[in-house]
Amino acid sequence: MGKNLVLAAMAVAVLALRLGAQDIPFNLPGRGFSSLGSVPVSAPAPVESAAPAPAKTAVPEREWLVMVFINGRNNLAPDAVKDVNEMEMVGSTDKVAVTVEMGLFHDRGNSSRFLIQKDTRFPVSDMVVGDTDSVHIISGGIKVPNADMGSWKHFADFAKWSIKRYPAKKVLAVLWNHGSGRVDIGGPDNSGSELGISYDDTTRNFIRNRQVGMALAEIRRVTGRKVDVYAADACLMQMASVVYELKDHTDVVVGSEEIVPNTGLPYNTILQALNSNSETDAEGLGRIIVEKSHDFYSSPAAQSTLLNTDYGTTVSAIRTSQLGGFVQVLNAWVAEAIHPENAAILKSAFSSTFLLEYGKDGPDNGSNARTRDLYDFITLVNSDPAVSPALKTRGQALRNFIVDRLVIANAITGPYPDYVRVKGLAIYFPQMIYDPSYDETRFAADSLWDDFVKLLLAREQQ
Amino acid sequence: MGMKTLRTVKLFALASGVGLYSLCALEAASDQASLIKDYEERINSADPAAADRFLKDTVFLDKLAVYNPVKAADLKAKAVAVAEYSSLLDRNWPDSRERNLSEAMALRLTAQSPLAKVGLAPEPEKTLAWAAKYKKYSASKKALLEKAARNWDAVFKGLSFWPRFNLSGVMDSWEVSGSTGPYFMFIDDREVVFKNTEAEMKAFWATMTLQERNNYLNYKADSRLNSYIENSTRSDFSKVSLVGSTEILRYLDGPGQGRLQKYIAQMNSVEIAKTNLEPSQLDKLSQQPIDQQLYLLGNAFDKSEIQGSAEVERGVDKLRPSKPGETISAQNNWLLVSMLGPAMLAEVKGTVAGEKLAGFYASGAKLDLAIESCQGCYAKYEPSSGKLIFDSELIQQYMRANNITTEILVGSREQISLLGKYLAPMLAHEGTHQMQHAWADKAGVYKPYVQEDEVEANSMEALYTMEKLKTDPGFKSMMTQMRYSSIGYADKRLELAAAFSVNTNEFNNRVRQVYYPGLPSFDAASSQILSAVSDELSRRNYLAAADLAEIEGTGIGLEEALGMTTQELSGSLGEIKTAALKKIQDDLLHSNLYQDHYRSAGDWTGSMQKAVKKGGKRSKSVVPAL
Repeated sequence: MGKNLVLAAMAVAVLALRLGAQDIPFNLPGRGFSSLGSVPVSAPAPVESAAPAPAKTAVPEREWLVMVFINGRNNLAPDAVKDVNEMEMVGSTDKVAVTVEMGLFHDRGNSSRFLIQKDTRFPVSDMVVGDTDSVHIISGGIKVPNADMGSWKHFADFAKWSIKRYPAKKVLAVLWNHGSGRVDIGGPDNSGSELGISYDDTTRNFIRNRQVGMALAEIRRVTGRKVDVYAADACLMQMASVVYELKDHTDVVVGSEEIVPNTGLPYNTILQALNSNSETDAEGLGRIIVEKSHDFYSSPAAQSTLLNTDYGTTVSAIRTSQLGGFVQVLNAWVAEAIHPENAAILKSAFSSTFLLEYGKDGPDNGSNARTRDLYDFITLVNSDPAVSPALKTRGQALRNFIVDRLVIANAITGPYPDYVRVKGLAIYFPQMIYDPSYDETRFAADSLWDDFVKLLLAREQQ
Repeated sequence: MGMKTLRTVKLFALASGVGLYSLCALEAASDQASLIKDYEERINSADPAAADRFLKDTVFLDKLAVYNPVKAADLKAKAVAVAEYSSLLDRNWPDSRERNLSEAMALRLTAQSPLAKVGLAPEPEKTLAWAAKYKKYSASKKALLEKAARNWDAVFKGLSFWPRFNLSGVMDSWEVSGSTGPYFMFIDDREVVFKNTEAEMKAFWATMTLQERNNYLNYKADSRLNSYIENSTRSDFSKVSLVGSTEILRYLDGPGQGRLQKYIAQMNSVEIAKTNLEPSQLDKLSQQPIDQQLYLLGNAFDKSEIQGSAEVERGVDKLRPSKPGETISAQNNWLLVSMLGPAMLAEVKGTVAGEKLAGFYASGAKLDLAIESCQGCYAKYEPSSGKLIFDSELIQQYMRANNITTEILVGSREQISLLGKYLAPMLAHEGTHQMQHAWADKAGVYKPYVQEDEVEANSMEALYTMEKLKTDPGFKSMMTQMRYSSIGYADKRLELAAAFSVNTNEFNNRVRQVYYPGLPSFDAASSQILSAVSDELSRRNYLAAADLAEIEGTGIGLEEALGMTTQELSGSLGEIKTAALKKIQDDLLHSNLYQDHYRSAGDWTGSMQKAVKKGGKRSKSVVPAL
């Protein structure tokens, strides 16, 4: 099951009834979908006070610093431990430093910070299967009392701590947890006020989409170091409205339009590739993450669990410098599309557009992202025989912009053939009820997409 | 030893990293040494009487603070925590406030709390043993404490655990059910508390903190509520009754309870509206969840497709989601914000609370409004940005109730004034929080967010509402009418004003026990911070010089530390420069400054309450300087 808070919140009823998406059979060994975290009791906590020596004087600058903020304070806790073990297959090297802050459910509020070390206690003949001790973390850590893993400021603190101690020319920051993209998971008034990532079930806090941008800005302000690549190892985050919040704070955004299986990113192969090509730039690392994720989820083991289902995985890397241009092209398309004569075409295209979150088509008021692939929608509009030349031209310009300029790399896996229609950027598309909190996104302020969606809904209701 | 000599010794001891306790023990008379030992022993065993005695012994405490500030801070933190916790439990807690008591206890029973250092935390059962030793509570109070502690036997009393097996014959969940059949919850094999036997689950439960227990139970309750909201299309009486009597839902937290009440109100509203529908109209609703049924009903009323009373329509409009024209676009948001601030300031003018606010803003403070989703609140002051945030849903609800769109609102000065009138009590409340932060900035002290802040802010709001109800018929009429058109907002404002007008002391308790049980009192917060800061300062005595130098060189400075929340501060102690930590320690050790501030605020609102009740002239001179 994926890193989707909405589905996690639905666990009880759904598990009891064994319904739909909750039976997604992507259960790699030990991978579970549960309610509040079930860390194996035997999993040892990181060693306290055996902190790796901090950088004190004249520490040579590495090529890359990879900072992974692992919030395992929920049902993903076992996967948190496993992903740290993936990182320990490679460890930190003189080219790439890997730091982690990890919080686990039942850790009494004490998270741990590590410089990831290579686990050499087992013969490593193969990077992929070398570290077989998947519940034991060997990297010494320091305890961080009262850590709020749902606080953007705490995420920024971890990044500042990492950058100060392990300086590098380029920086990757990863937020690891559940993600809700632009989905209404039902605040007290069902007002869509809980959109974000990194939900801490202990502190009941989480990082709002806007706050991810604030954290990246704060990291830069204090350290003078921009986060070159930001990756969301979480569900549903590669959406226009989420990515747009980050456009001024990082160069490349990596994430998934779809549910992300608990396995998340394959850190071992990504780190191995990065070490082999440490001179690479931000876009290069974006491509590496996409490629290695594709390789992992295309493996026979992963594929066998995906067979006979309608599910797949998606991951893409987006060039943030093009987001401004993207909005201009999108706005030009909307300006043409809203003419009344296009209503039937838009309605027909909408109903057939690739629906993410495993095609979930529930009501608008709850656990439903209501996201569709933008490229696919435009493609369907353009393929309508009745489309006007003007709209078709603008549609083609938008499609070209997405694949040629905005999306650096995109990969899909899974046996369900329609995933080939997914091109790397999802967008909000409710079917009946517009979530007012969408108005508060930067994307809604700068683009006409919110007006477009409201217009479609209003027409439906006339 | 003269003062000069003493200072030299202290400096030497500090420089060499040696604790001063043995030194001052040498200095002190033997009876003082034995007094310290006695206090330490008793406070370390969580003796509430000893904690009280120690805190009242201010002469001794001051001496200790001079000779050994670390020891003084540590002992004071523990004593304050024990005394405050003891007083919290001693209060009158009716059974209906079990959740509030549980939240208040959970906040204090953490692994990092000073209560953990005296053996009272984090396991909640320790409270039960402690109460048996030091308190003479009635049987019903003991039972309430067990329930509030989420003790296994209290939570699962009368329920049976039935193992459930999957198709392969492997046990994969427990069904927990009552004797009459309805299930309480399923515990799935991938959940944290799942074990193969009930006894093992119980043993694991005993290791969980109260916060973890509450979170787990809330999670199960929230999941059940979600399944109703998402999947059920029924609104009939038996369904409403079923939801209302679902046992697990009593473990919902405050926001969850709000969602439950709204959902029940929505079902009732739909059921009433349905009586006016034709079969074909009913058919359109039949497959929709309740939220969407309300939305469709709202549309049908607007298009006059339903002939129902205005009251039924108002009930639907109050509870349905906004339509696209009723949401606040980015452009309209900007316009609304720019007009709403002046409108509200004009509205509050002439009231005692309003004049105080006006004086504050006239003195240079910025009124920086924002309209956003407020995560379940009506408004909030955000210290990090300095913004007063008003809930966008609250404003949309107002527009729905008054049948106006955003375009109409931003296009009419009169409409903006009316909205300003409606929201002004929130300005009184949140503006007070802004004033509190301004006070702390001016005083240069660290200020945790505590119950006393809310007592003051709620008092200011209630004072304002009370006066406006008395002097402004338009306000009274609007709030009375909106009671039937808003979800809680107008009701709560009126309830608050009514409670405040009766008795300010009871109002104070109500704010603490009913409205903000999950917020620490000043004593609880300061003891937790003091304890953590003391630990960190002690730890630094053993740090290598290079590590210390790194903290002092690149660590967090005083200004940033003063702006941190309690959680942020305690999560970043290891990164904060020593001088900043000592400043915060010193601030909190001298709690009189804070207590004087809160007392002064309470005195002022108390005297103003009397003046407004009497309706007499008020002198501006009674407004305390900021």
